[in-house]
Amino acid sequence: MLILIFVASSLLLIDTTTQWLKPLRAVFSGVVTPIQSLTLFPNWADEMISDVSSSSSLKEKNKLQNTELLILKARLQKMAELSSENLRLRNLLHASELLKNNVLVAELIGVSPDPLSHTILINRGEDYEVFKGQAVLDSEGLMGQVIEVYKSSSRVLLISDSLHAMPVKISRNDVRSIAEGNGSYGNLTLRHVTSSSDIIIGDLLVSSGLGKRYPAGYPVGWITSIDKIKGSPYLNVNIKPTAQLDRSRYLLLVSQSVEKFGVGQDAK
Amino acid sequence: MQNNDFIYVGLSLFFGLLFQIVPIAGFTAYWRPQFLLIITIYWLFRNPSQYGVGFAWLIGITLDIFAGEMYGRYAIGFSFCAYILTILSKRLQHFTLLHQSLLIFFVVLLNQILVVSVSVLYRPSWDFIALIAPAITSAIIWPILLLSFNKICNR
Repeated sequence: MLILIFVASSLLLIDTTTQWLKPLRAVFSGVVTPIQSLTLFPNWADEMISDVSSSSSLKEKNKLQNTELLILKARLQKMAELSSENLRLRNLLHASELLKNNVLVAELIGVSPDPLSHTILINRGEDYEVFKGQAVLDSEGLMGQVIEVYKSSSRVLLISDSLHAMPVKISRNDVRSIAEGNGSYGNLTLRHVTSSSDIIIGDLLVSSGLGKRYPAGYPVGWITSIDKIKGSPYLNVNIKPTAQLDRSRYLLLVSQSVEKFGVGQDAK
Repeated sequence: MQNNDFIYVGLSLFFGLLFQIVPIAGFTAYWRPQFLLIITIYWLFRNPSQYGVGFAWLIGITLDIFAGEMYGRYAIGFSFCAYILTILSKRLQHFTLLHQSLLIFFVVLLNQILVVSVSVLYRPSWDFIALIAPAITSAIIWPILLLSFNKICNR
């Protein structure tokens, strides 16, 4: 009994303070990933049932998706114009590079069984060139970053985990701050916001890109409340994440590649 | 019988593990019963001479591997609970279902306290509900599990 407790405690100590168990984790991931995928059985069943659907509902769905596609295409046209304009302006400013984000779609296959730890397992790993520190998004905003990469899966730390903090800025006026997770899915807090700073409820926070971890400009959350604490020089600011941290099933892994634009390159 | 038993143990633990790791959204995750722990306890109750602290430790470390961070904390929790139960095992034979449920409540609570207090060393947040909720749901589910498992295994 004592020996077992001792072994477990030393494992714990080694695991939390050193990287020695990393190869062991990589080995175990080969077992964990397939079994973890088994738990998605309800989803498969659901998909199989919805595969067998009537032609009328399919037609309706198709119609809906076509309209959605049209709307998105219209937006994209505007976007294309804006980005070319941006490029021209950047060239005028002699800004030499533009970051282009490549995305890879991943599916969530597991959530940590411990509700206090906000980590998830996704089905993309080394084979898809996922790397440690890669940003993970859902369709609404930033979700988190990759913390461990295995052969065919990787573990993601969500922005709501109490171990996580990220540099953000207010999109309205570029005021910088740090958004910290506090262990609840619907709430983040801002660190060290002085009571004189220009910040109002409803402001959108986007990633600032300063930590060199997250690409800049992705939405993180909306400010939901600003409270003054007596005797403290700082405000208590709460944020609601835009991403659906506990619901999204399909995620995007973002990687940046640099597109070079020489100064001499003429923008027509 | 003995061979059959192994199949039942393996299968029940496998499904217990699946139920333990199946993704649950948001706040409901706090109320997930500790399936794996109570299934381990069931086998400890049923055959204390064969399944003991070491068995519980192995199950705990398996759950640690699936949880993926901080190897060893479930192993500590599970083996502590198993230790207490093996000490009490003679007395437990005479407990009524209600008393057993109450015992399960405290054992799971002990496990949660151990697991959460270990994780607090590493991660600053914790929640009272994370201690108490799994203990309540595990205690509720225990009679169902005991009776159905008894029925299956005594066929």
